[in-house]
Amino acid sequence: MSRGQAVLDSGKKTILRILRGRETGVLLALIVLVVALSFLGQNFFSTRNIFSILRAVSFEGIAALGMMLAMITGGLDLSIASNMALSGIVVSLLMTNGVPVLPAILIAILAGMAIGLINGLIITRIGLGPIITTLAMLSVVRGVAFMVTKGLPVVNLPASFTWLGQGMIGNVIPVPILFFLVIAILVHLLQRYTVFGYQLYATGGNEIASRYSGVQTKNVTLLTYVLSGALGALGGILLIARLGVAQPSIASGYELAIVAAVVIGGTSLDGGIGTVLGTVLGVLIIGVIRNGLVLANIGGYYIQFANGMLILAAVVINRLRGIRS
Amino acid sequence: MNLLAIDGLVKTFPGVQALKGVKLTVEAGSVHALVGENGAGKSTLIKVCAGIERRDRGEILWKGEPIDARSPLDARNIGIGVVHQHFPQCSNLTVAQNIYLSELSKTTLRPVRWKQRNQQAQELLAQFGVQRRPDELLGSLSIGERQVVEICKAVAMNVELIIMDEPTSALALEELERFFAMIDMLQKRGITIIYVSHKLDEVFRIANNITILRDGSDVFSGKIKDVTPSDVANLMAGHDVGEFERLEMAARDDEEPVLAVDAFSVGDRVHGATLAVRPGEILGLAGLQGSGTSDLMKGLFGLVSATTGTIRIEGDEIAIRSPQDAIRAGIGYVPADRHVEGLCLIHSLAENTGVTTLKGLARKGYLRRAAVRSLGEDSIRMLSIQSHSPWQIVNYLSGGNQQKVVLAKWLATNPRLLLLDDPTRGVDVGAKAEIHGILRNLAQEGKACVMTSCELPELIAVTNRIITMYKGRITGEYRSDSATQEDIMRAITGAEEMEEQNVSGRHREAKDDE
Repeated sequence: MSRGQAVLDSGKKTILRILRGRETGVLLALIVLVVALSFLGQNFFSTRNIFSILRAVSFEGIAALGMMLAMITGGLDLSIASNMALSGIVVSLLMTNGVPVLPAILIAILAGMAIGLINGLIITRIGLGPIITTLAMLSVVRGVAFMVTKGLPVVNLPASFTWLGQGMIGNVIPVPILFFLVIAILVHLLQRYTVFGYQLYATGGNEIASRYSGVQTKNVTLLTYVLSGALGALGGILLIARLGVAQPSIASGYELAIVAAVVIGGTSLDGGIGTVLGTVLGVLIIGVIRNGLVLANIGGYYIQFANGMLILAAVVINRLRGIRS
Repeated sequence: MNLLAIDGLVKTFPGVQALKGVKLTVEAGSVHALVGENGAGKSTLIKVCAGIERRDRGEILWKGEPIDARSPLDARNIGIGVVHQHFPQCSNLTVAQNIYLSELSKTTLRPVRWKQRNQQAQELLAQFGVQRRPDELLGSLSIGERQVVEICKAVAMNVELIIMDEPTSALALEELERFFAMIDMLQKRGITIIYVSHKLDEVFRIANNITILRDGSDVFSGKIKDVTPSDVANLMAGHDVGEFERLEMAARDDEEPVLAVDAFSVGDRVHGATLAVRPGEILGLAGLQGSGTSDLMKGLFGLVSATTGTIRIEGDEIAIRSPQDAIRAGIGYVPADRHVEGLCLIHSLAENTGVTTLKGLARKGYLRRAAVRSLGEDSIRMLSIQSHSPWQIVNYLSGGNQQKVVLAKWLATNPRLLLLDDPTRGVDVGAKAEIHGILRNLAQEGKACVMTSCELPELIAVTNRIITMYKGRITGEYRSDSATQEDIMRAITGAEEMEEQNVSGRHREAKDDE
């Protein structure tokens, strides 16, 4: 009897915990959104549409995971969208100059990491704020993308490369989705099960406490910007592969949508809190809303407005949650 | 055997020599008390040992070998753990994650076996009498339990020496016994403890040896059994305790109270407080941490909203819902933490003093620099602030002068009533006396003051009347000219209540826990 009761109690607790979890609200919002949009037209629930939503969010989704890492330490990486563009340019220029696909991709990712390293060094060693640092880098990196291309698109990318963005597995599943999934799982494992992941949350939760405990909080923070750079680069490379052309202006303004997705996913702007699941759900919400605006024929002019409103809503909800607890 | 031997330790900060050649020898396996007044150099000494601050000069020997801890991590690796006074922790992490934060301080991609760690953490916690699940969020623990977590953190690192900085200051009275039991257990494990405190009853209860610091120098070292508490107190102060000059002041009992508070409650912090202050009176609020004295002041100043009760200023009932309301009613508030709540440290003295009276300093919307400057100059002159210019950045003033700037800011509003939460905290003896003088002058001008202090002798010397609080309730009222420290201590520790109800301490604890 008492044993049964105990099982019941722990079950109750688990259910309560799930209901109180930050991700649950995001999931509910996503479900409500999906149900609402399904009234807009029969097209919404088609396999084709669903995979097209998933593919559309994969590029920003991968970058959003990097952004989330920086945000858990209490920082922010506004340069991430410029980084996507520059990495796309780098990989394209390398390939059109005869470098094979795989080395070109690796070099482009290294370039992204280098940008992240610069961000991280300025933030941790010189002590500048993450917002101003990455805001400046947003412009610097985008500027480099324009300078190296003289503003012209890079074309004639090899098919083996564009397959990464345009290809289908079994004629059903777009390749970028698999990248997004694998990266999400890897980042989840990194956060959940490694010393680094643990220190990431500790640093964001209380930097002083962690430093006093011997954690090299500066290095932890630095590493998140390097990772953010790497993931931004990968997202950018795949985006170029999808489009088949590398334009220096690509992904302009994506940084706001990415921040929106991460914040909607429950990551705290103060640091210390945030999960891969939440971020993925946040990315999906943004993607579904965009898709819904298109399906409902409302049009692309409303997308920025919607992103902005979503950021505000998410921050307000986070704030209220903070006050209540 | 000596575990730690420090000699000739010097540490200078801009403008102040915090340590002037300190010698400290700690026997292995002992509890070594390190006592001294605020500002005696205890914190600096700890920070040097813990690798948070670098020393300027001096020798630190660990088991006879010279060491040089350059970071907290270095110190832990040597075998020195520190439990800081306001131990910073990560409340977004679980109990076990906090415990292993030091041990897992090397950044790697190595996986962490949390199942195993959780189990070890639970065993560790249970040894120290905390029955909590290791996967609970730290934020849900009481302060006492969080301190146990902090100690477990050091134990998990297998340190040989734990430095505890004012460990009981955050603890509720009920948690004290468990804490002392824990000290015993640590000692049985062979862990040496440096116990930093100014609470002599605790020191005499648990310490084997004692070192007394005064003004950055060690003035005594020896066995605890060779000294008496009054010896220690005298050595700490360097003069007889109770040196605060008492000045008789006639409160104008016949006049209408400046402030009359009736059945005033603030959440679960203050319950039904009723009190009055008359012109020319300095009222003391005595209470230990968490007794509600600070909350009462915050409630009167509109920083937290009162749940029930009325406030009358010179007879008129008013509602105070914000600091603006309070300032309009002629109330000033000197907060307990001047760095956080009192000053804009990066701004100048004049700008800090002008912030309460901006309207008066402006003409047609333009702030008159000359008016700000002359307010700053007046403040420097009237409160004899040691500052070479009104544009001096307050961050570079000494603690006592900074506190005078906070006072100046409120005197500029010409308040009827000044609330002062521990106005002499962390200022030197000379500045203390000066601040007392300022308060007395205010009283002579017919203003009313309400103050708290962490030092009872000070409260008795400076005030006309003392109201004691314990667990949010007013427990007594004393005339300062006849009250003794013992009377007041009994009232603020709840000892008096227990005696009256004839209930033993332990019995009460059990009830309170429910």
